Amino acid sequence: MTGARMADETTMSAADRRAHNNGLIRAAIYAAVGLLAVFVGLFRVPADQLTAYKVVFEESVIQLPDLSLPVGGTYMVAGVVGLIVAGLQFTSPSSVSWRRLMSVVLFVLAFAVLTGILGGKTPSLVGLMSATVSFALPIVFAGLAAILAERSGVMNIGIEGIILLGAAATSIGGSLLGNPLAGIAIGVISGLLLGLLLAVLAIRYHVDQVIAGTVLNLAAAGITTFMYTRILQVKPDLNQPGLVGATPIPFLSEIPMIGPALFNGSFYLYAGYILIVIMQLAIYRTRWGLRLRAVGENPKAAATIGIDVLRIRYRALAMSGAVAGFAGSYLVVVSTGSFQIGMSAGIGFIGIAAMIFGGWNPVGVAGAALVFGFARSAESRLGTVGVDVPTVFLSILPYVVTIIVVAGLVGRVRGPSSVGQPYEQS
Amino acid sequence: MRRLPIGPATILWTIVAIAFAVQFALEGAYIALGVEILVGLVVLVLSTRPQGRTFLGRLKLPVLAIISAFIVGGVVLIFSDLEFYAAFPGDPLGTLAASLGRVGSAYGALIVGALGDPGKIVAALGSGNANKIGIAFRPISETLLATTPLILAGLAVAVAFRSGIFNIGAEGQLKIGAVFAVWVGIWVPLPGPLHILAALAAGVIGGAAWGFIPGILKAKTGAHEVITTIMLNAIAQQIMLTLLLSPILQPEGGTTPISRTVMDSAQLPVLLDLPKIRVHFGLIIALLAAVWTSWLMFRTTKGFEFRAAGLNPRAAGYAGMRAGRTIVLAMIVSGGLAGLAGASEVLGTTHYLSPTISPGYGWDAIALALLGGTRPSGVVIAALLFGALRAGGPSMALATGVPIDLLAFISALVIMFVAAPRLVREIYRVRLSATAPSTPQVVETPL
Amino acid sequence: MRLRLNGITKQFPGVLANDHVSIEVDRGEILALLGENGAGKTTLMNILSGLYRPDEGEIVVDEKPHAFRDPAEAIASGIGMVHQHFMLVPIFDVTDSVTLGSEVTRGPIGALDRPAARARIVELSETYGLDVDPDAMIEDLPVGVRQRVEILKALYRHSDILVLDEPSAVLTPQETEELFVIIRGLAKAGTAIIFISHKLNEVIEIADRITVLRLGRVVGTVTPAETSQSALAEMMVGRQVQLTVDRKDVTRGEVVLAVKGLQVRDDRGEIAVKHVELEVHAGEIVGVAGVQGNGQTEFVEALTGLRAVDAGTITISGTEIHQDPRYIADLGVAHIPEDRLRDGLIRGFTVAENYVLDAYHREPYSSGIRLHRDAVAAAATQAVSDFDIRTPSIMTDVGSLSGGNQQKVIVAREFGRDVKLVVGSQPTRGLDVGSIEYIHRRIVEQRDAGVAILIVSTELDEVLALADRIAVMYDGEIVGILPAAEATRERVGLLMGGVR
Repeated sequence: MTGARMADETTMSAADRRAHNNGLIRAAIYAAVGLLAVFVGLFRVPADQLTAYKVVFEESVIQLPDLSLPVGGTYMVAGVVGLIVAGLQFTSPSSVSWRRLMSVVLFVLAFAVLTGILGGKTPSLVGLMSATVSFALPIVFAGLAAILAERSGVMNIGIEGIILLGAAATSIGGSLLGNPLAGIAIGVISGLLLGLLLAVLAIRYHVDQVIAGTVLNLAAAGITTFMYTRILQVKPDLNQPGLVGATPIPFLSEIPMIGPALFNGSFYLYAGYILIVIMQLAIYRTRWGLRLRAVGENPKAAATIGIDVLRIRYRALAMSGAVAGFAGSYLVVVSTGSFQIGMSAGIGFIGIAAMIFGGWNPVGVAGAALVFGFARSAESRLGTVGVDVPTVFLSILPYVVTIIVVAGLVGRVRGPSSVGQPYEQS
Repeated sequence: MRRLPIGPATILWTIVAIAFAVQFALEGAYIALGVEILVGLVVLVLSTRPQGRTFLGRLKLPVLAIISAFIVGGVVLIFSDLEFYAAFPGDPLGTLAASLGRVGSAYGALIVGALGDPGKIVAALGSGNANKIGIAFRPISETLLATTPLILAGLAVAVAFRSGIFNIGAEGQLKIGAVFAVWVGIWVPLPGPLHILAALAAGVIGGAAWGFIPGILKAKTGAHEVITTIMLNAIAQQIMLTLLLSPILQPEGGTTPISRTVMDSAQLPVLLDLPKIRVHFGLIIALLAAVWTSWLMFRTTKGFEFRAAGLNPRAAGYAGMRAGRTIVLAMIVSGGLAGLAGASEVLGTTHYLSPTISPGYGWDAIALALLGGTRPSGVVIAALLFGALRAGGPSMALATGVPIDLLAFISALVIMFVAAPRLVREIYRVRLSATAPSTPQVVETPL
Repeated sequence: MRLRLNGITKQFPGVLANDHVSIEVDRGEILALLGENGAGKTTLMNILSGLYRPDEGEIVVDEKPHAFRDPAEAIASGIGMVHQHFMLVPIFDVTDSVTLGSEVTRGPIGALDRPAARARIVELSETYGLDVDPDAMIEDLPVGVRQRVEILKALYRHSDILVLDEPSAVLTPQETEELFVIIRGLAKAGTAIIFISHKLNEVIEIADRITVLRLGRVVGTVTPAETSQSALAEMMVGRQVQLTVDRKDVTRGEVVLAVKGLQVRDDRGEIAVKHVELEVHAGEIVGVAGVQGNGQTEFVEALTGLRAVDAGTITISGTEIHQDPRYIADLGVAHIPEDRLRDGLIRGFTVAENYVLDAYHREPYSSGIRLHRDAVAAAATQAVSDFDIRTPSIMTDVGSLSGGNQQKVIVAREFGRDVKLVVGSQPTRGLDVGSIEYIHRRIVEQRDAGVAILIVSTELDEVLALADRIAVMYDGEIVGILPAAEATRERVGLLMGGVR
């Protein structure tokens, strides 16, 4: 045994080799899970068991019969999909599309398990999809807010707090001004100011970015609960901003299965589509985006060619806060119609999870949010259908996936390199 | 000679302080008066000392941070009062004075609620009536009761900080510790002290296991502990809720997420057998844990490695220490302490587990670690302060109608001011002594 | 004249980095700036690029004085920088990296016009023979190409004053040749070029004029025709502080350190040390001279177990080492790291704690878990008096000591146990003369006691004063080993400049 030989294996392409090996491990896991699903479908499920999914709402214009899926068949299809993905993964182990492959496997398996659990019942698939989208939407906004901050090199774990305060501001503002839209504007502006506060703390006063975000979360929880008890409970009319209703898009919203979910929502849904597209284009196709990414990756390099690193970071955090405030306003004017204590319910953190799982990329965040939203929606469906299974696995899914991804156990993800490190202008 | 730092702000605050003092005297809140005079004296002494290495110098930043947080809290209190807006246009000065008075009452009630009324204490002791003594000492007992988990959680975060790790997962580690401890407390029949020990040990193991995960992930894969601990907090919460609704912890026929009560043999005894006194043996455990942590950090080779890795991991590596092992071990210790906090709560305070087992102890712990300068002794003192806030809160709410959550906001502000020494120095124009200590170093690794 | 620097002076705490430096360069001209470490080249360049502001003096572009407030203004004046450590974003492709900061955009929202930008880059790349693929990712490119991307960045900004900082430091000889072709082409096209280097043959090969800097001052300006490598070496190295160390003649003993065929990679995975063969005997001091960045850091890190060995072997007294600093220290190796506050000491720890930093786990300081603070204090107190460490107490934060006393803490720690081999890296960097002499004396004492000593230093005077044999490192290789008697400043200077 020589020192040289040992060293050889740890140099140069060590990271590549690890990615390769991880890819093979993933392929093996997918194959095993796929085989298991096929096995369950063939031998473990009564051959004639059906799950009849409703694909349209009762009030829909187009009516279709229930989609009856044989439980065993669904398992088998999921198993085959798992095996195909395993094959794809095997042929190019260190491919960068591991995220897509994993999403496919997670999704088909979750669906198969769901179908199995619901065997013999008539759940509403269209309802499941609508719920998925409405759970996913605030996660999308939170994830986009997280992207804006991290792409500029600042970690924003205060999104949770900004959402909460944005929600409170929306409710009070909307009530005072008598218009939910005005409330939304107030919510967005207060989010923007909080984003700036975070920037001032982190950039000007050198508060550690994690501590600054934590402070924001704690302060938001404290002050909103305080205000709720002290003001909103005494004067409930300050907590009635009104609701923003759904605006279905003609024709599209009548498409069976996906129409109600994707084309019959409040303007937030459409704003979400637009924001995802705009951000995707802005980050990758504009001068602003190029500079933002440069600042997040290598601020020194950006500074040597005359880019003002700190100004970009201030602006990015203001925008991040504004988007998070927008997410907060959604919770008030769409979901509940009023501010409730602790109503952010961890969405800010799931947004960070979606950012990581989505590879710091707006479209990726949307995909991740859909996966997480599906888990949430399946979890709540199972409750309402009255199935007695532990749903904890669905509820912890986003967090477990994020840990696995951050640890690099499934593939290579890389956030902006300068995140977390303060930049000192010379 | 240095010019005395008297400006308009100083004069304003002096007037406010005197007004509060008069008010406390009139309301008979002598303990609050005493606390105010004490704080005033401390500020006076500190204002003549530069921030720095000496004991008083080290005290300066935390004291100013706390005072600043309470000032902001007072401002929020005034401007969140709807009557203020109604009355202000008619009689601006009078309204302002009245509002200030209400702030004074609230803070006064807070102090009385946390420390009790010295007059009553003397009277109760004189009467020799156990019931009266219990009632008189109840505020102090409640303060110490709330202090107990805070000490342990604060130590957990401080140990990690000192080792260069940002453990914001104390909340989750505490919950898993509580789950483990309550399970042993409910199901493992053991004789008296042994049962307590076993349940406490289970809590430590649960917390340590929950701390081990981010530790090993950071050491082996470089995964950022902030992200992993945030996620593990959420997972811990879900696991706890699920178990609370399952036969593993829930009593038969139960519908609410509240566990069975632990066996009598697993309950931590109350320190003083008086009516209304709830502070229990967990306080002793917490203080012992502080001593043990101090010993570990400053008297052992492992603590030496922890501190070296926290201050300069590169030089620690040059000196032959192993970074990965240190991280994992520090996270195990940190998680274990947080788990002990959870165990002490379920075995001593509640005797059962419920979703509200931690009203944010794990987050307060970050404030305590920073406020206490990541020293065990400092953490204990800071925990006493935060314990007093938590204990005095209900009295404040009861007496003046000010919601308790103001204190959560103030705690957050305390963290902010402690973490932003530059901000505090700008506000108060504090001089730095030549050898000012560097703020606790937290090592950042990119995601 | 395209560019003139007039009497530039820049003072840093304790160092006069530039002392009335004046240089000039015209269109189509290649000016080489030659100097050792610490000669003030980098400071001058940072002033020129707008990162620092001079205390005195002016920058004159086209006979108009300028004061650059930030890099953008320097760029606007036509100055383009190619930094030694490339300023590129690894995850960007070439087009994005080059255009960043001066993007080609369309429309009001600043949409990137990538086809136009790409065309421009292809055109520039072809015009100047840079041969860069505009779509390649930076992180996938070899160093030589990355450097050409940096040159592209400057050309893209219409820079016609191009400053290259040690451009060949990271290149292979072939890549250097290609670079020279490009530089000559640029000069022919009218670009004024400032070429910063310490390599004698290169500056003679490429430059029209050579300005030599030493200790922040201009020593002189010559043309390649009127000078020679040895004359340049003389100018560059000069005669500085006379360091003298009293040395007895000691007969050297058996081989303690043996390095065979050593190859080591740096953090980026590039080969930084290659084919190094070196032996150090008991009772001798071997000095490794060389300009900074020629592989010394990686070499020392490999010797002390901090960096993986890529190929070859390192043996200490016949035992082959593996990558474990503690194991190597236990073999009797003392290590004085090159940056005391970064690598050697822990600020925030007391003098006593730093004294036992690598021995805290051993008797008498610990017999297991407990740290015997009395034993630590006793040993530290002894060390403070033995090594004349000036400190208020052993409980003082090591960060508040002077540099010399900090270094003494390290020396005390490393020499305070049974040592067979001392590896000292820049053992006296930044110290006052008194401390330098003290530490040199201690090192020689160790030699006299039969310890093998390897001193790596970029201070030529230090190596000349201490070493019995002098090895010169250049571009990752040991290019020559001279006995002290034969090691004249000129010979060593030539080797340091890469002339064998």
